[in-house]
Amino acid sequence: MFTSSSDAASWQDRSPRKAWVMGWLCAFVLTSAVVGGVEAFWRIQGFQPDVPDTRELWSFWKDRVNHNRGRTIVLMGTSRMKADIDLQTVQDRLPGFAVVQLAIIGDESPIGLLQQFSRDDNFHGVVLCGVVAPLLEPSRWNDQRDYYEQQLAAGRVRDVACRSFLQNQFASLNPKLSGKTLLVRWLNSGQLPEPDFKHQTFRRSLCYDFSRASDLQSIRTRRASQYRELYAAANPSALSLRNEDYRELNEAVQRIRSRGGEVAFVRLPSSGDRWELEEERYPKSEFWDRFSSKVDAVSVHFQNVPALARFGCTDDSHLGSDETVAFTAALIDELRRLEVFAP
Amino acid sequence: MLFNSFDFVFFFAAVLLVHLLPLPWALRKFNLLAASYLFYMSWNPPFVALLLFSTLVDWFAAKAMGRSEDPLTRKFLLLLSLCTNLGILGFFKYADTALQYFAEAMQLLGTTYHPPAQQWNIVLPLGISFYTFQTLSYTIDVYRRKIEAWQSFLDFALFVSFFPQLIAGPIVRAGQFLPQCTEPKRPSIHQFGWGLSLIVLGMFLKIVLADGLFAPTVNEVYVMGRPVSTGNAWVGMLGFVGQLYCDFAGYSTCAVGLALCLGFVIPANFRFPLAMLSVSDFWSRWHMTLSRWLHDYLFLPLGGYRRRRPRVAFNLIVTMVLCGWWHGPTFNFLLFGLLNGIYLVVQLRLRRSPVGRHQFWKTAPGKAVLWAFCFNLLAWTLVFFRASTFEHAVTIFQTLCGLGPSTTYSYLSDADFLFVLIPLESIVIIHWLLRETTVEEAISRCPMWLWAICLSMMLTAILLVPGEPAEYVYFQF
Repeated sequence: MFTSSSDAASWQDRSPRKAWVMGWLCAFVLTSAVVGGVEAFWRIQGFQPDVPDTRELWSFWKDRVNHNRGRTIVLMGTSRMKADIDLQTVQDRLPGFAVVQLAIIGDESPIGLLQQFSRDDNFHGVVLCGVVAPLLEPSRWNDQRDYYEQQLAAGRVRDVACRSFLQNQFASLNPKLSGKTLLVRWLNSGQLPEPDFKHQTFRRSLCYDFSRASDLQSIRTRRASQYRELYAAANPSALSLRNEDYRELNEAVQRIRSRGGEVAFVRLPSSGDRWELEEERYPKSEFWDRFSSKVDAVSVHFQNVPALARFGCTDDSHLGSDETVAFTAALIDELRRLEVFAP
Repeated sequence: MLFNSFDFVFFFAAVLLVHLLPLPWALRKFNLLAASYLFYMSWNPPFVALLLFSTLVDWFAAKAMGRSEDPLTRKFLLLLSLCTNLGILGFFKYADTALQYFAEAMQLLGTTYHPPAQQWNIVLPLGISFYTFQTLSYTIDVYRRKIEAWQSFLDFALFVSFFPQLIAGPIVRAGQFLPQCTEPKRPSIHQFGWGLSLIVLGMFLKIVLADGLFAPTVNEVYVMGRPVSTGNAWVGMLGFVGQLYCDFAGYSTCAVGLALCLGFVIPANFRFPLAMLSVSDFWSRWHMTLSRWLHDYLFLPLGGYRRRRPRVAFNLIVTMVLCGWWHGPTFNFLLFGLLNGIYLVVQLRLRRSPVGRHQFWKTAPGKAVLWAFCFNLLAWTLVFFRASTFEHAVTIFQTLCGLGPSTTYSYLSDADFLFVLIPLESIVIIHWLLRETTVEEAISRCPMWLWAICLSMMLTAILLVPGEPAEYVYFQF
């Protein structure tokens, strides 16, 4: 029934006697040629490296916030914060500061994350918090809780970070281009995928190349329609922050300030139908202006700064990667003018 | 640290580098021991104390046994080892379930029993089932005087904790491993070349096949509480056979390869099991080290085949029930073991019958029938292995037969069917072609350029077709 232990021969060394050095060399050369060829093919097709936006990668960068002896700028918010800010420009303009991108794609408020940093005694950096009026509602503050309260194994975070780093170098490591995904697509449509007009980097920046977008108008229309539905569910007449909410927010800001840090709320650009919808539902004078008068922190609305207001969003909501350098420089200049960055 | 993680790649590179340095053998063994403990601590640091405790108990018990000629003393020391190891295993693995069953039994007797907590939520130390069996085999072999109590604690501690096989086997015998510790070990070029090949093969099985192709389909079918179509259920059932084999064999293959790269030989755990011709044939090819352990330390002491038929049947069933129970303290695993025990008993009866002795079974069509029957038997039995609960398993069985809650909606695409059936068929064909040989013999006969192409294809697939990484299935045991 069973194999008895007298089957001892099964554990004797029976490694095949072969020309292993030559064999492995050939395997390595062949693999490099194939992988290199696949990489070249996808690059020629217009694909770029694209890093999936995973919770592990977010956690990896969050763990690095306190690594630069407090001179770290943390970006939080939504996809606009990911897309509109060029991290290299921030670092060039503010040497000595590290920049960590913790914004998350989606319609979720980052205020809860700001509060978490305020309670972290080791954090004394600068928070740039990208918000729009709906995300200031206290009921939304914990929207991103799944991210900042997650407990991930350190090994898994490191592993995903390593993989993300490699995905940032090679277009063929994009999960959309994995053999299995391609086979499914080919079986369904008989076609190869088209390159996307946006991609994410290892540092979690979102890069939009609108010259590759095939139908911008339908993207704008679809997004405007989505947000029209979303905003239709809420019918605010004014921001519902109570004095206690402002007090809580200001305490969070003060805690960070008391440790040598700073907080700035930033309203990033939108344009076209999207701006009109946002203004219709959440007029600046009723929402943003009231908020910035009561919150004890720096607040910058793009409309109030001519150098920022001149930028238009090609898809009505995000800047193209050809504009982010100039926009980031203008924003940093404005924040510097408001003394957000301590020397 | 999973084998298929960057952490492990760096870890192993560092360990290998030190291992290959011109240092004294004792120091290099200490490097392997320290690395093994570090490897284990990466899962959950406090549990390394359990590993150390188990090692110390068995070391001293075996040492004392070696010095004593008194049968009572030797028996006492053996019992001490058995009780300590099985007690620890029992507590961590079965205490929660025992508490639950106790509460249910009290309820049946009309007494309401409220445990201090709904569950103790005892965390199962990784690899405990494996290293416990491994250390027990040492003390039992010393007791039986098959081997002498080992003189070097360093060697013994390394035997218990050797990181390539610590978490999920193969279960190595002291008589296989300890003698290898006496001579300085460095891998020969053949061992290193073949070891790396096995690592690539293991990673291919795990990353590309198990995680990339089989697991997504199986997970889609086995969502609890969601009816699936009969077609989906069949593909899910077959997919799990492929997933379990590729996942576990992938791990074992990596383990053997890693050990070889360090110059150590550990036994293979699989020998083309999907080309089985009978249930006993399957168990002599699947998780072979566990089968051998159960044969030597459970089946034979119960009497093995050296008894009357009813007792032999009892021995087979008890052994397989405990085999099932070793996998987990649930009714599903108990049933899994019980069914396999019954299959073996029935097979034994049939083999001795005129029908079983017919020449037809030795012909190609006869073997095909045997394979088809046994493969399906395995696939159906493994539903207990994968289903979350007994009720879930029953639902799957009903769906497989076209009964019970089901739907015509397919959660699987045509591609999902292909991702299961093509690789599974390929594996079965390869197993059939190689069932009378070993991987080593097959590669020895294969031209190097062909094996280089195979390696390259596997490496390319690992790089370009990765699945969503998942823990190894056998880590839960």
